[in-house]
Amino acid sequence: MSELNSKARALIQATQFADDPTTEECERLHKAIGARLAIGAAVTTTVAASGSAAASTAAAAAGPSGAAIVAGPAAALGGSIGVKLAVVAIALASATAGASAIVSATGGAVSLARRTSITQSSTAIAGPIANPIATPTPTPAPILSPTNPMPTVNPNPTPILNPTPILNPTPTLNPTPILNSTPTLNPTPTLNSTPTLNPTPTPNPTPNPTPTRTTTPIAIADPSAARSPGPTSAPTPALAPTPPDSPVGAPVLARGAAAALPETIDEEVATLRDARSALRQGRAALAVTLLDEAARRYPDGVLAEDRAAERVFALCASGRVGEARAQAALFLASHARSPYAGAVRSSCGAR
Amino acid sequence: MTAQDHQIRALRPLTQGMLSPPSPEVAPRAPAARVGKGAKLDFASIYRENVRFVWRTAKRMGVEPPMVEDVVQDVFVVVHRRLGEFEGRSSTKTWLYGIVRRIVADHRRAHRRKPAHQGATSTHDLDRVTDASDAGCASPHANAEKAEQRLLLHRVLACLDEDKREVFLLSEFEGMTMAEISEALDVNPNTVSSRLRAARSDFQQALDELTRGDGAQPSAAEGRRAR
Repeated sequence: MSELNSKARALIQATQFADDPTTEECERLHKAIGARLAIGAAVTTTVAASGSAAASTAAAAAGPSGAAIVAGPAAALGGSIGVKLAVVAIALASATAGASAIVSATGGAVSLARRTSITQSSTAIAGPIANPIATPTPTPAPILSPTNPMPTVNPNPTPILNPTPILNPTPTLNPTPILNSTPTLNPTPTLNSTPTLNPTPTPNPTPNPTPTRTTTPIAIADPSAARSPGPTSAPTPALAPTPPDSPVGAPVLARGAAAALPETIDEEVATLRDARSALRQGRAALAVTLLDEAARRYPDGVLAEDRAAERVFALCASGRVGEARAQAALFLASHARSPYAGAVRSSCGAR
Repeated sequence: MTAQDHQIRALRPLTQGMLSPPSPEVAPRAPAARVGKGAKLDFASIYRENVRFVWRTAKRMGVEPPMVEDVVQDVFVVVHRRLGEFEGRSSTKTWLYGIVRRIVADHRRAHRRKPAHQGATSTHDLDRVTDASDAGCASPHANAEKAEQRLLLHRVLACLDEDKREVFLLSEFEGMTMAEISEALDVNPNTVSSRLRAARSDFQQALDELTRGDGAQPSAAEGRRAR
């Protein structure tokens, strides 16, 4: 059946592994994927442990919380992962504090995103916390010392489903239970202890649809987090001591919501990345087209501000100076304190 | 030790095993390992054993070199997320290929303004000859020849229709059987067989055309593909 001559066979033989990654590429890839998977654990842990502004504080200040620990090295890895993790950290920070966070991405680029579409869906988490900004930052110890070195598959992920938060659609605005619960998070960070933590993981027969939206921050943080027992099992000890009316256990619940949003975030990040890539390659018109398309597809996306700034640069680069100036003025009017403000101001669009 | 080093060290327990260098594929043409139904898959071993396969497949399917890493990342994030869904009815490689295929298709949709195989090999590849792992102890001439062969391969592959190209790659480069390819692509084995036959013919023809002269000029085969 072979119709290949010896020359073709020789070429196939010679190039059998010619497209394999180099050692350097392998190492970079390992770190990037490791960070990308670990972010799920960090996010889950942080949300579960603090349920407050801890993540926001950590992400902005690169403090010792799980999100910052992951985002830090990830940002240094280069490539899109930094941007993606920045978004993850931003989403997390915003979800818990309702604020915006600045996370350094790669290549000196600064990614700042206000959580717009996520704000609504995360109110169930932010809501019960009376003063999220003032809430002390608990140490998400499980992420730092997991006993399981590998994120392995949990054949029975249902035990981590703690329906209690959903049972109470109107949690009391009392941060105390959350604060009190945090010291008990660390003593038993054993990952495999999950099934024993929730001896009666019977799903809520009448789930309240509104509280299930609290899953959004986790879903955005890492699509793998909901399924990966390695990462998700790390924070589960946090769920056990959580008061029934605390929403911190909810993030691991609604898979439906968890399945939908991450894809959107990923796509949104990818589109912005493509636009930046196009702009760097001198294809400003393509960058503008991509940004416009993204703006249509994600009108309330987390990267709206990034896109707006990028659009000014792209318009400027494509010679549409008048339009760029108009966009720059609009941008500066609405995002005067944006990390992009300086660059936008000094771009051709603002002169 | 910098603060960043501390942060990276803090991550190690989570990713240990996965971060260890992938083992070289000693027997790439060995039949794809079939995992028993219900068998528990280990992400780290899947990663180690298949990362090179995923990487080169993405590259040969036309993903631009700068984007290959992103695609491979996406593939393994999906693999990690869906490990629990893998039922062991197919080989790991077959299952992985299905994911690679879908991620690459998504990637193409995001870059649909470009031709499918444009830029898969470029001067970027020629830069790679300086890479230690590629170069080994070979002479500069040997390295340059290697890079040229890779360039030629990509140009020839670019001349194949996508359907034929993937069958060709899986059969000729990955050593997969007809049944495995049929499973990976979810097409009839007879279709796989006919596609492979046509792919070999096209590959041979494109190679002949590209190497008739010096292979440097765009050929009729490449023109056909571009259309």
